[in-house]
Amino acid sequence: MNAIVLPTLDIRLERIRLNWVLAALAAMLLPHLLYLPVWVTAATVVISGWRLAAAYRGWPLFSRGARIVFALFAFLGVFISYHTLNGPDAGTALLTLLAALKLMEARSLRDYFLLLVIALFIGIANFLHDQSIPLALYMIPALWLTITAQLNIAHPDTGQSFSLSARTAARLLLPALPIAAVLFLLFPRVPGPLWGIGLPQQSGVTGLSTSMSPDSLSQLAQSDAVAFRVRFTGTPPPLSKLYWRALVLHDYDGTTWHLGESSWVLHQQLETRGTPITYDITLEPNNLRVLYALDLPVRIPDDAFLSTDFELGTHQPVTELKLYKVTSYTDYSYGIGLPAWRRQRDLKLPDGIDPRARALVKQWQSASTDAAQIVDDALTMFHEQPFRYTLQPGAITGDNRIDQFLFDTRRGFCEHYASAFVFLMRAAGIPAHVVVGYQGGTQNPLDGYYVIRQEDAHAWAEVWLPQRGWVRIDPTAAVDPARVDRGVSQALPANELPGYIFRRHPWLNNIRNTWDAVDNGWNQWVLAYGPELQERFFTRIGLHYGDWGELALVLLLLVGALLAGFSLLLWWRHRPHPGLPVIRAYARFCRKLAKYGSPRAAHEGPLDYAQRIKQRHPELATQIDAITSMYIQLRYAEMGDLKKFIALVRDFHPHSS
Amino acid sequence: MFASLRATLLRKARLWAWRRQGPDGQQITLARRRVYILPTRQGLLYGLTLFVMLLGSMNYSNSMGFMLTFLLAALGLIAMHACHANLNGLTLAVGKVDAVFAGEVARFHIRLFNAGRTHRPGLVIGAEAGDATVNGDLDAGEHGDIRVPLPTRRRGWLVLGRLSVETTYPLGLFRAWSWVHMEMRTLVYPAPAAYGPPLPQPAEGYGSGRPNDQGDEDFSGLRSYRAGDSPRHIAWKVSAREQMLLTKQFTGSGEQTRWLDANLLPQFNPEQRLSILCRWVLDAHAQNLHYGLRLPGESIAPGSGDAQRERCLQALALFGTDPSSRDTAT
Repeated sequence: MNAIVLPTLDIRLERIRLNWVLAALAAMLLPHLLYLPVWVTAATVVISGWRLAAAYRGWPLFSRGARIVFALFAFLGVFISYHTLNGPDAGTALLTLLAALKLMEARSLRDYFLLLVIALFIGIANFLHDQSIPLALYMIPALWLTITAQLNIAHPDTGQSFSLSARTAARLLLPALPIAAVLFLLFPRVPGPLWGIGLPQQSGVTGLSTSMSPDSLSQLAQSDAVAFRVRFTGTPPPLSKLYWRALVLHDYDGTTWHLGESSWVLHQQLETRGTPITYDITLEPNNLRVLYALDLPVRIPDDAFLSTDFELGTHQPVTELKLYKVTSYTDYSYGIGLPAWRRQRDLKLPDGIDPRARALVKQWQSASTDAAQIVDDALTMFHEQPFRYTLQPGAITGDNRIDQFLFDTRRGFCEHYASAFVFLMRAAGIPAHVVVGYQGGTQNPLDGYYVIRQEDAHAWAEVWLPQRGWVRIDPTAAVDPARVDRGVSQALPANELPGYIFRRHPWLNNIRNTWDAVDNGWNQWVLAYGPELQERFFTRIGLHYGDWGELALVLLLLVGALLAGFSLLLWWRHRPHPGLPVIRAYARFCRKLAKYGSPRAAHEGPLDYAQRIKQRHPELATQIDAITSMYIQLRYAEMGDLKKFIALVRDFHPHSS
Repeated sequence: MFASLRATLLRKARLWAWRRQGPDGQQITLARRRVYILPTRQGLLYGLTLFVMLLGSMNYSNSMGFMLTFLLAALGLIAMHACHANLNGLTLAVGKVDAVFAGEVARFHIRLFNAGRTHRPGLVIGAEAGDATVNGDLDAGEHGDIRVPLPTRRRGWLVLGRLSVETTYPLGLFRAWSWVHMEMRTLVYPAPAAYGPPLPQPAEGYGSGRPNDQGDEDFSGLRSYRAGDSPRHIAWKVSAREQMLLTKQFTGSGEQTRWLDANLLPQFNPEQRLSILCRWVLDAHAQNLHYGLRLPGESIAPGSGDAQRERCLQALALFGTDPSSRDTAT
């Protein structure tokens, strides 16, 4: 295509393309600014500004050398920032810098189109961080803008205004929606992943981690982000039984509890009593290889496994919303026979620290060596001494942290109590370990789901007692029974928790519940739509899941029918113009004048044309005026007598008059 | 290698289209079955992008990723239909075309008409034989006049040949096009020689032999000004009144006939001869001379004015070409 264009026109077209591509990139990048390193954003903004100045002020473009240097620094910078070039985060940063690099040299239609493609990739990468309703809502206008940009970049010379091209883009996007919906529902989903998933490093997931130090849970409790949602199949158990087990921590180093070495193969014996409780969990991404389940899970999803400590493990970190079904028994005993290595591990303490705590244990032991009695002694101490349950425990430093907590500060959150309790038990020769997870939850009256937030994060202890096996002891409950009976929000001073304002104002709480129900519906029906839900959906509409031939046929038919519908719409839009007879008659009038020696020039409007002919042939003035004014009336105001107009043109004979 | 493969495929496709469509006459409305469509290079890149996005969405089991991918895929399909509809139903009609001298660019006037209610932006029209294209937008119910340029090299008939009407509107992902074979041609005169022997002198016996007063005596009337008319002959007063330039015409009793004879140029090859004769015809016409043209086996009786110029140039243009094609010249 060698359309001959003047250089000035070329510059104008380039500016149009540049403006639009920058708008599209900005729209797609905006949500990433939360995650991108500042230098990436800054570099992109500076280069965009320079490129604009080059287009408008005639600044020089970047040389090839400058581009190569920039590319090298970009790779190096990303590697330094992320320690990898892989995964969604480093990938997004690289894509952004690639867009900046391409902007440096963008000139041709192909360059700008490539930039649009990069914008689309940056756009889809947004969903790796967040698939919430607000982001989805944001992406609608962002995508609209990008498609409008594509329209203007492909055809900058059609001179369409912003609103006209935006309307054209909407006319393309709206009919695409039903087709996209059909593809979303019917396109076969395979269980991922196809290749390794780079763990999002800075994706800002708040949640449990694989260790517990002082402050780790109290910090988590500052967040009212949803951790997971639960729907019970039968009657929900009472709040005090809702201990959501996540991880069991065995190793203590003086400040922090760790997972320690674990053995996934040796199962401990389990006895269950009472009725099983079955429930569905919608787990928000936690970036851990662990699912949460009610103490203690028995029947578990196919893609999970039970650890020897009855943790529910997965092979991949949970980076996307996950739906699963579990059956648990809240009445159980496990691990009655305790192997020596297990006893050893759960008795280990760092040497030499916390002498006062050890002395206290000695004192208890002098009264009674019965394990149950010592457990009782510890709980009684927590209950009767002035211990406080609070999110603001104050700083505890130094080597003897347990001593400081037990004898000096006496203020703490669940992790302090669990940690100190397990220490005391181990000092007394009773095998014990820390369990972290969540406790409680709030039922949303609108959809019946239990919502468990990060503020419900909890830590408790399990001690091993002869003949009874592992027994859950929650020292926090001894300090403040309300924590377990009525939830964390009732136990803590009202202003310490993030959801404080919702509890003060019931109407706000109603809004929150509504939003939560909407969000949950979005999770259940849109985000969680994967192989399992698709199978259920197929069964419901009478398709045979797994019969790909049948599915392909149905897909083809449905998409074909929708496209045929769109073709009809196009036909309707292109149907003959109502002014067609008028236009034909006027064209006939012009032909007659052309034969008479005065053809209408392409640029001439009807009025200009009439003016010119009248000057040349004054004798035709009345007829020309009549025909022209009638034409304008009929054509643009759509009023007047068409038959009379056609007759006028028919009887117009310039030669004879 | 790809370029040659592409050229071969294109040739075959054109032949195939010609066979199934046939000639188009004076006017043609593009029907659905003759508007062809294929993805552009950008369209292929877009397709690849969608595929990568699909893989990414599968890998991360990302529902919104699937949603965006499918929406963009559906958008591509919709854009394909919109692109096709942008040409479908467009009417083209043969307009006029002026004869040109070899080496000039012939401009074929084509009239476009959009009978529908929706505007048709981004139309690109070009002749297969040319390398330049014309862009056009047509509003709903609008006529448009475009001039398709076609470079000329040789004298004789220049047939417009295959015209391609195409569009990548709206998103540039697809190119819809139609091949139109309308009957349209123009005469290409030989290129007038830039340098050459001067006009031959009037032949003995054809006039009274006054070389310097070339029929300036008797005023015979006015005609409209033509480039090359001497300013001395312009009727300034009348021109001012009529708002157009008019040239005084004279029929001198001493009008002399000059024979522009190919035999006067034995030292040139045939095409050069035609070129020089063409130059002579133009000069003689510009000087309002009375002249005739002699070609081997053909001669044009002496005369003057536009008609004479036309006759002579046509004879030069078609000299030695197939006589059957010459029949259609008139």
